[in-house]
Formats: sequence, C-alpha cells, structure tokens
Amino acid sequence: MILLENISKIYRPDITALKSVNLSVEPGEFVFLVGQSGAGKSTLLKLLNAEERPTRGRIVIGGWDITNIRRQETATLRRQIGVVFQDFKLLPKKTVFENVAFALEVCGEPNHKINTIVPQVLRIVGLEEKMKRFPVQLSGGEQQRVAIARALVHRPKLLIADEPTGDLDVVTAKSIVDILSKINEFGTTLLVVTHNRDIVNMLKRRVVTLEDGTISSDKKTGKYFI
Amino acid sequence: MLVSLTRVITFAAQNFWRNFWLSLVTISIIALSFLSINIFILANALVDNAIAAVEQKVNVTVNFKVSAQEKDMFSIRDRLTAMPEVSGVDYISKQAALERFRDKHTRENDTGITDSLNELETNPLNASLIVRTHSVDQYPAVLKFLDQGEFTSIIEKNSYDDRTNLIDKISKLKEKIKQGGIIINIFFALIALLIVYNTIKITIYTRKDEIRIMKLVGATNWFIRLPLILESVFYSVIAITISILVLFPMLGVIQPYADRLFDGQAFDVLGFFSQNFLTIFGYQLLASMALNILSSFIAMGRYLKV
Repeated sequence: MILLENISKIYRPDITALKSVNLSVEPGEFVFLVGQSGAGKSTLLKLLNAEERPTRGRIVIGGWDITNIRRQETATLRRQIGVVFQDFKLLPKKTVFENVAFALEVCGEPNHKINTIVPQVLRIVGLEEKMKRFPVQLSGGEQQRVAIARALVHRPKLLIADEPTGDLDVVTAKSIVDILSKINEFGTTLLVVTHNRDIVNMLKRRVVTLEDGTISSDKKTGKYFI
Repeated sequence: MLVSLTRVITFAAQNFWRNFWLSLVTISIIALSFLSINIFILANALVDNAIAAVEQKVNVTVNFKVSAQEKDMFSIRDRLTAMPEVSGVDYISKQAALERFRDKHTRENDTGITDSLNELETNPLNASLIVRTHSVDQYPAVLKFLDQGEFTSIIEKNSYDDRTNLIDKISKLKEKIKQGGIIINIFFALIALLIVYNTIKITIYTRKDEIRIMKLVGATNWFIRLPLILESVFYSVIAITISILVLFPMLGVIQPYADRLFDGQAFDVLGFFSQNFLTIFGYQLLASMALNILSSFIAMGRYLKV
C-alpha cells in the first residue's frame, strides 16, 4: 500500500533529513516509526501527506505515485489519508462537532450524512457529550481525541499519526493508543511516529527505527531499543 | 454546488461572528477610510463650488463710444448672443447707466457725486454691454471677437483690458487647482488603498494557522478562499453603511458653515451627497469590495502553499 523507494530529502542548503530510505507497508499493518529527535521521522510523514516533496526517490500510496504530486492534487490525497498531529491542529473557532465535520465538508458530503456520522465517530472517541465545546474548552487528551475523530471520520484506508501521545499523561496516552488499535482492527493501515517506549513495547507491532535519516532496523514485532 | 455555496456562506458568517473583535477592528479601519474619502469628496465639491461662484461674478463690460449708433450696438449684442460660448448679454443704455450710477451713489449718500451730476447738462456715461460666458476659460473667444478691427470705431479702446488680466488669472488658478486636485486625489486614493490592503493582510495573517490546518485536512484552495473572500465583502458592506450613518449627521453640522463660506450662494452639502448617493457610495462599495477581494486573494496565497 505504501512504497518508499530510495527516498532522500535534503533541506537547503545542506541539511539531509532522509537518505535513501526504502520502506514498504502492507494494507492493514500497524507500524511504529521510532528514532531520536532529528532522525527524520516527521519528515517521512510530511512526505506521505505531501507537505514536503522528496529530493530523490519515489513514493507510491495505494498505487498512486505522489512523488511529484501537483499542488492542486494534494487536497484529493489528503482526503484519502487521516492525519493526527502532535499539536492536534484543531480549528480554534470551530466546535468539536464542526472540527470533525470539516473533514467531511471538504469532501462535499451532504449535511444529513455529516449529522449522522460525526456523532457516531465522536461516540467512538468518547466525546459525544462535548461536541458543542470549542477546542480551548477541552483537555489535551480530549483535543487529541477530536483530532483522531477528524482523521477517522472519512474512513481513510491509511492513518498517519505524528507523536499522538507526545504531550499526554500515561493514562490518557494509553486511551489514545487503545483507540488507534481499535481503528487498526477495523482494517485501517496505521503509521505512528512515537517516542513512547512503553506503548511500543506493549503493543508488539512492527517497529521501524530511523537513525540519521536512514532506517537502522525494521522488526515485524519489534521493541523500542534506542 | 448548492451545498458548497451554503457552506461558503455559513463559514463566512461563522468566521465573521466568531472573530468578532478582529472583524470589528477591520471594519472600523475600512469605515474610517471611507469617511476620509467622503470628507475629501466634500472638500473637492466645496472648492468646485467656490470656483463656480467666482466664475459667476466675472464678466466683460464693453463700453461704447459716445458716437456709437444704437443699431450698431444692438448688432454687436446680437452677434455676441449668437456665440456658443456666451451665456448672456445685457445691454445697458446711456440712460440706464446714468440711473444705475445715480442709484448707487444715492444709496451710499454720496451727495457730492449726485450734485455734480445734476450740474451737468448732458449724460457723461456711455452705453455698454455686459457679456457672460458659460465658463471662465471661454472669455478669450469673446475678447478675440471684440478685438476685430471692425469695432474700433464704436468700442472704447481698452474698455475690457483690465478684465482680460483678471480672467486670465482666474483661468490659470482654476487649472492649477484642477491639476493639484488630481495629484491629491491620486495620493489620497493610494493611502486609502494601502491602509485597506494592509488591514486585510493582517486579518488574513492572524488566520494563517487556520488556513494551514484546513489545507492539511484536505480543503481545496477555493474551499478556504471563498468564505474569507465573502467575509471581506461583509466588511465592505458594513463599513460603507457605518460611514454613511456617520457622514450624514456630520453634513448637517457642516451645512451652516458651508452657507457662511459662500455668503448667500448656498451650497447644499446634504443635497450633494443625496443626489449623488449611488454614484459616490456605489463606486466606493464596488472599489472597496474589489480591493478587499484582491487583498484577501494575495494575502492568502502564501499560506495556501502547504
């Protein structure tokens, strides 16, 4: 489903974020992407979301070669991928409901469908009671759950998450990971960047380790060993 | 299509309301720009009116020689009246001139002059023509006509030379005011344009993170642009309404001062804005909307490159 062939990313003038990375992720897989800060994890996710373009190499997602994706096509790509950001990236002037609904509105979904699906998804992440609140009225964990709900609501086949538990306490982080696991059980491919050793070791999923822009290890049921 | 349109309007209204203070500040600045432009328009109208008032007071008096025959004088009058530049010609006969002269000095209680007149057996004053044109810059055509050699035997030499000088001065002054007005107008329009452009730019800048998030969630550029553009149209409509609501009571206050300025030749400032309402405010609204849309479009461009 995801294929990265010989990917390099160099930021001007001479900062190399990724060096000849080869990675293949099958549909339905749950992959942790680990590594120290500056190893190139976030850059890799940005390449998948077309926030950045690779300097060299080829990226294919679901058969679509997005290596040189045109700016006008990025919206179409992003509507097929769910993204969860470390800093949540919620729209501050929209309510919880509206933030989640926005992902469907950009796809042109009709209102009656939005009014049915959004409460269902908010129920899954446990925020049904808070759908009229604004992000500022929620805790960090709740905001992250809204972000997950937004990433899920259009039923993407691929969900990528950048440090989804980064700023959260242990209990909240665990609840977020439970939700992610549940999503994966429904067949969604997950690519999760994390620093959380406990969660990686507990779930025993595939672990890809990045070091200085290259993949130093790729274990099917790996452990966090940096 | 209808769903998208409804969403664009809903988002624009929501953004406007939920960013109330930002909207208020933006509207206030645009409304102040409108108000300044309208005050400037008022100043322009007052200057135009002042020039027109001066022009009305200018005329050319043609003094005839004592020997001039009435039929020749009437012939000149008729030929002048037929000129397209001429708006009116008054013939003042010797007798009428004497009566006017006597009236004037009697009103001023100048008994010395009136007594001297009584002592004279003949009327010392000449018949004359008072010629007015539509515009001050049309007098040279009249003067050229009068300078023809055929009239030297009946028109007093240099009878209108003093006026020539005055007319020339007024004509030049009017031209200078016109040129200066154009420069000031352009300068003022540029300032208003820059203020509005920067206000919209700052408004968009404060929303840059929001725009970026929308892009990352899969919104197309137009899905992001249209509500923000529509919001900037709201700014224009509300700002022009506020400026009208402030301007008209202000005109009521200004009116007595305008009356005093023109000393009897009243300039109806309220009437001027009422009669030209659609032209003045319609063009301002259209220009502001176009400027706001363009400013939003340009300001958003860089944040959409995600």
